[in-house]
Amino acid sequence: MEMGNQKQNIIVEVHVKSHSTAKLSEVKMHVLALLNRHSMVFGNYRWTEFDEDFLRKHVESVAIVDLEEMITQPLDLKSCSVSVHIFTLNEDGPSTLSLEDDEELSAANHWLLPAAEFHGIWESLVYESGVKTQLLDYVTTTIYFSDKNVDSNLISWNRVVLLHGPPGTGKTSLCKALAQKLSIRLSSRYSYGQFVEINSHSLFSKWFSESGKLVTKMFQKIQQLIDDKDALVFVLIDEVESLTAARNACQAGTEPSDAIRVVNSVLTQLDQIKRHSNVVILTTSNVTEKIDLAFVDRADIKQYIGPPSEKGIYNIYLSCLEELMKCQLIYPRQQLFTMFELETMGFAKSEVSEHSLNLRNIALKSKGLSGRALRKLPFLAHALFVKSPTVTLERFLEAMDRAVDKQREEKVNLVNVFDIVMYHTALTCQLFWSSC
Amino acid sequence: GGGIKAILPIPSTNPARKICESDEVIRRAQEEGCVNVVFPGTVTQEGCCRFVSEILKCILYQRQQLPMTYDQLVYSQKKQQASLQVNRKHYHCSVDMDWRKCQQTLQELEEVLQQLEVLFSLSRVPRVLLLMGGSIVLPKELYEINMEALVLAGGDQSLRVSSCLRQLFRTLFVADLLSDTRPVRLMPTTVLVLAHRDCGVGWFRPKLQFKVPTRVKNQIIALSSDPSACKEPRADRSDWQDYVWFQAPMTIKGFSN
Amino acid sequence: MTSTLKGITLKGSAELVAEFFSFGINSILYQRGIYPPETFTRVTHYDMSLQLTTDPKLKNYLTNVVSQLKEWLFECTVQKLVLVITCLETNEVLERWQFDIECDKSAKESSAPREKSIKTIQDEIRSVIRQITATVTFLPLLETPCAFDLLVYTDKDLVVPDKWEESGPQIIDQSEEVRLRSFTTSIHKVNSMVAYKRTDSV
Repeated sequence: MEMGNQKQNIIVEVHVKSHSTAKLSEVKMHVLALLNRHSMVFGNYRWTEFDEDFLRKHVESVAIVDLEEMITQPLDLKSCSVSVHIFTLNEDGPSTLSLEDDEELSAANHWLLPAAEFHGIWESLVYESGVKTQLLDYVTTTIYFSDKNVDSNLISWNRVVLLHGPPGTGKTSLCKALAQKLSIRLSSRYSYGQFVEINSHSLFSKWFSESGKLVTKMFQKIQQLIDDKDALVFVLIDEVESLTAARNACQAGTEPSDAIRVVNSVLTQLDQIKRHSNVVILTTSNVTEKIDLAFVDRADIKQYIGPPSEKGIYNIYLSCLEELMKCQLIYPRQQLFTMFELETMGFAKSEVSEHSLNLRNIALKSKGLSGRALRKLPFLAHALFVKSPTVTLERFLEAMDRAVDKQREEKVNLVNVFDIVMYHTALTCQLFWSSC
Repeated sequence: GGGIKAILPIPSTNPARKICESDEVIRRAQEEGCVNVVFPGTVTQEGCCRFVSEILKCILYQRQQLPMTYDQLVYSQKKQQASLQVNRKHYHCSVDMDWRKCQQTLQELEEVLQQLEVLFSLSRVPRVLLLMGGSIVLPKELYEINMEALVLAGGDQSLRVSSCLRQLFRTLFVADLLSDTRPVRLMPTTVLVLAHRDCGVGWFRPKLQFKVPTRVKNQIIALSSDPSACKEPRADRSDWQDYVWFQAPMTIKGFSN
Repeated sequence: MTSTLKGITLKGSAELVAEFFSFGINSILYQRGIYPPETFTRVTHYDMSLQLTTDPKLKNYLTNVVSQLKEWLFECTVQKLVLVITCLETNEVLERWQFDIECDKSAKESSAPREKSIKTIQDEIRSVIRQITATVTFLPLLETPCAFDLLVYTDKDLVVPDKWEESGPQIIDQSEEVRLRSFTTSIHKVNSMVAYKRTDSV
């Protein structure tokens, strides 16, 4: 991202403790002083311990974030343009947007951003380099555009995001993390973020026989949130293909049913709310081929989220091992290199790189496992092959290696199970067809 | 007890002036969602805490989050506890469940009341919000106790708390702000308080970004001291500059029967 | 079955209003501490918790009054029910609960049910009972032992049963009055009000 003589932009996120009542201006002043004292950085960095009282008392962490990994030489913050984003986490869990008539029906979950529940998700998600930052930049731009009222007839853009790819790659989590990140980044423009997760399962199980009125009601509630122009509202619809499926199934039938009315109503309402400049619609889909849904079709930001690459897997494992060493389940702590460091060393074998190279081999072997499975692996390794309170890194890597083997074996078996599930689904579809 | 007496109709005396007065209170409550209670003098800080506690209890009952008043609940809970201890064999599962729900609500409410006392000992509290249902940005019902215009003084120069409470609840009752013919659903109640930034309260969590929701009707109970009856000046708007919102870290979940 | 669900008849209306008085009087006696709380038992009615006396004498007395009232309500001859609380020692009237009853006498001629559901009526009654309970927050404490009397205002030409005696209105001097919500069955309308001795301690 070199732009002539322009200074490099450095983003600093400041997580203020939830009990702090310090003024934002004061926090900022102290953070800037901290950055001034430690102005040479070698990439992303997070301070959690501080050399002065104010920060110790009020601040959880100060983090330089979202720098490209490939930094070849140290950066001097004094020659960069630094933007500081200060936030505290909302610790309340989600509240449900339920409809007046029936308390059983929970139409959607609703979080206030930045939410404690979403904290750390962004960092835990590992994709091909640039995927996350690009996505972030992309959505940020659309929000800037709409905030500045750029005419979308002249320059085409909208605020509908579609993340698609195989299951278990963290698409839903990425949506949450993205919303969290944006609410922090844009806190100077919007005083808070709202995250509404529409429960598509309840949309299609309980609501099916009901009229589209319920959908209208739910969107009225969402509209109320949007009416607050100080709030940035994210609306998430998971597995958006279920809308298409329902519609296609019904179009095949002769009469329009309740189902199609519900789906049409959802689509119309989404079209309505996306006109507002403070709304971002996030959708996910497990279907990799083209989704035949006019609404999603118009999504400007479509991102394929695939299973992690070897490098991605390595980074996931690395973060897991760091956590286990921090908790002293793996003891004593030993040095593990990042992929970038290994690459720079040309993967040369030495005493210091031995463990890292072992880990790389495990990562290579793990290709094809989903992100969800990868994060479970260290747990399985411990449960199945360690069985003692503390373990050396060397032994733990052996255990992981065995756990990967076991996992791959099971995956073969799982495919058979999947076949049965698929068969089952086909049956349900038929039933569904006949009821349309 | 007494005897039954049937008597012949006699026209009752109807003081016209008083009816007009209460009509005005009702009109303001209905149109503006505001009830003003003007005390004829100064009150104490502890008094303010009592006002808030009693209003909270009253709202929970009147808005159908409690099946009976707080005092009755406490009484019946004690009675039940005693009988449970005497008669261990006979308690049924359903009774036990009800008892637990009641116990939980009471514990939550008592915790909030206690912490309010702590807060009031640390800071002046010009405003209190009770948010019911929904979320804190968009609750279903919103009540504000505004005490900005109360003039505080020591106990010896102040009005008796009990008579203030009587005046307050009489006005509230006449205004009929809280009654509802329709059944109200159970919903969690969240307490937010405006207090001094540096008061050092630990239990309540600061919500520096919080803004009073504007898209729901805010029912205001405004308490004030009659300025002509006080020597001390009222607080100024600028006095509240360093006051920030704090939120109770737990909600009060009501129960029915 | 369906007709009682859909509408209200004179008989049904008299029963509902009499029932309201039964629960209302019990509530007042409990709330105001005229009888000790341990002589009451908790029941669920109108979807809310209510207290009923278990004192045999009082129970008997109230049953009699309420059944007599029901008759008068059915005949549309009752105009007012007043519950008076007096100081046992001085006989001074401290509190006066007045329920004005408006009867639509045309209901006596036509037996067709009125269009108001029992559920709606009970919802209205519930909010009045809730208000009765809420009055404890502002009514002055009754610090001395008290007794109560029930007064019923009826049409002039009514033949009154033997046990009933005539009485004065028992008005409180220097009183404050507060109106409660009213409710109507569409045949009987009840306006409630409480008057109490003004205290100068403010």
